[in-house]
Amino acid sequence: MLNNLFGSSKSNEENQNQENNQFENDDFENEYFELEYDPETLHGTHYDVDDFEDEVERLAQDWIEQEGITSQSEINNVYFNYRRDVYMAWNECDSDQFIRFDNKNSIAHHGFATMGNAVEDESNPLLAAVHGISLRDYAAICAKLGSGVAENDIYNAFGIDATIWGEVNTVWPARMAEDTTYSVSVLFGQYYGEADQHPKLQGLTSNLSEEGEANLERLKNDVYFYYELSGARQAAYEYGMDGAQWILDNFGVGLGDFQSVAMKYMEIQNQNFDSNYVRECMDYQDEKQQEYAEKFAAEQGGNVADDVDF
Amino acid sequence: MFGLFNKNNNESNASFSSEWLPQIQENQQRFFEFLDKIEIRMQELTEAAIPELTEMRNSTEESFKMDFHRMKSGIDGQLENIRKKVYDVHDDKILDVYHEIKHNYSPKDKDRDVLDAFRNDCRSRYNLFEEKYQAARNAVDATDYEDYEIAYQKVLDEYAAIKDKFHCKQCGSPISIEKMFFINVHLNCSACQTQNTFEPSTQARMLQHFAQDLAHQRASDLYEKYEKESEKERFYYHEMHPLKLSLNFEKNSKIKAETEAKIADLEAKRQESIKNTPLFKIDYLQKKFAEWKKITPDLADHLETRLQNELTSIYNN
Repeated sequence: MLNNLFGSSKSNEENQNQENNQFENDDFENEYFELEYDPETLHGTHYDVDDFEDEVERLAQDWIEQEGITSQSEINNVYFNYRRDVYMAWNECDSDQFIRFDNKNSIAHHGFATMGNAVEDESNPLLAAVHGISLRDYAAICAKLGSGVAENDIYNAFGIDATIWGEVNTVWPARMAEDTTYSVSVLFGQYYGEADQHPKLQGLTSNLSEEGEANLERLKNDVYFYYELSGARQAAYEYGMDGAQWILDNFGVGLGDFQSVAMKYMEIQNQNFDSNYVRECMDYQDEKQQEYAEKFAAEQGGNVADDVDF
Repeated sequence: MFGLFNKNNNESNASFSSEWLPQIQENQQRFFEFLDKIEIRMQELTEAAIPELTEMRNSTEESFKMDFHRMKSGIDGQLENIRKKVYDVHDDKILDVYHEIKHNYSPKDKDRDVLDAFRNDCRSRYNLFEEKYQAARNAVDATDYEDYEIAYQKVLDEYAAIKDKFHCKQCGSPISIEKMFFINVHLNCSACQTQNTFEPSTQARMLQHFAQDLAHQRASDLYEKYEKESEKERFYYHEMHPLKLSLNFEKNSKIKAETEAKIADLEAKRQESIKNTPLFKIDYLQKKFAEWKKITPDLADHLETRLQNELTSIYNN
């Protein structure tokens, strides 16, 4: 089921449809009537967005006045709550659909971006290229450096040198730190997941072994395998090993490539937010983490308190 | 250690017909012994690990510092493993047994007191373990400390030593390094205009990464002051809570008035803390960023933006 959901399909809408199929036989609230959502805003198409905003505004203002609320964070909470109530009532949907809607509009609702929902705003000065290196370039370079591609090959591909790179690699992180909307960091994550598609980095190899190549392909297509290795990595750290190195040694996949896959899954998971699915993934990862923990413990002659029993 | 339990036992042993009594007695005793043993093991683990971790952390070799993080994460993992084991045993041998007895036997009042005492005593003992676990964890975490002034002094010394020793690769004329760089820079030779690349040392490059930690250390007095203040709000709140409850049943008007005065006093202190906390945080941030700018002056504009962002978010809340 997980693979069906996330395996081959690319677009948001396709995933959405598959997800609905998944629950076809379940007793699920939003099944009772067909609703269309605007793909840009995820508002229902059967009402006017201005009417929606007016209704939220009216209810929130009444409550704020009645309760005499002055703190900005509490005011934000009031708006959030009414937005949820009105959205769920007008669309007769479950809270997962509301979360998808809220994530999609997180900049407008909360003032910060969420993974998988950020779009590049060309007027944002924090997104201007640095020495000709765009954020998309920068993310791809970081991913490739993290996967063991030779620095000079990358510098050559972009026509820069180590000195320019030093500046680029100072300015972009500084912008991420300055950006209170997190748009730069979130876009960085999204582009990091697309590093393989960067036109200037085609043909640059990271000396992946044949086995590593095969495992990386499998990671991209088999979400169970991804969560298994995520659990294993966590367990490795708990047993005093470098988890990223452990994956490289045993599966031939470097940290940069692994994180690229992680970004892709995180993006898809956010765009198609489904609490049951998220729980299923986490349970599977925990289960695998436990299995690997037992294996590592056995290799190290057990845990320090194994012989202390009740 | 089992004083309370023994007392119950001696006083009313004859009147108990409950078949579950021996079982809870045994489980309690075994639970206490189990925790005694596991706490000794936990202590042995931390006592062995802490000196080694401290030595690794203070090493100047980068590879040793990597080893430190691996080893610390392994120790954290073992502590977590111990905690999980205790949690499971408490769940399985105490709470489950308690609920099962309560459900199956519907004990009468006096028996129920014994049963509740079993659960409460075990819970207290379990909480004591949790405290010791936290202390062990904090002690291990405390090994992850570096006095960044030392690293900074090394960078300063190095800069003093090299700033007049850089020469043009083309004509050999001296090129002065006019400030501490932490990334590569192109410097033009004033004699022959050739572009030279100055590459800072590894430790100079690290300056960018530890500057924030160093600035925080220099402002840590204000940080602690802020932290202390921020904890007061909850503290006074919890002080007030039982007093407020006691008013519900208080008939004596004198005591009532006294309690109300105490509550008013605590509430005033609580409000004071709510007012002070953001102000103290601002003091801390001002000092930290001022220090940070001194350490990496090239990033002053960037740091000012970040300071203003932080201040804005405080004012908006």
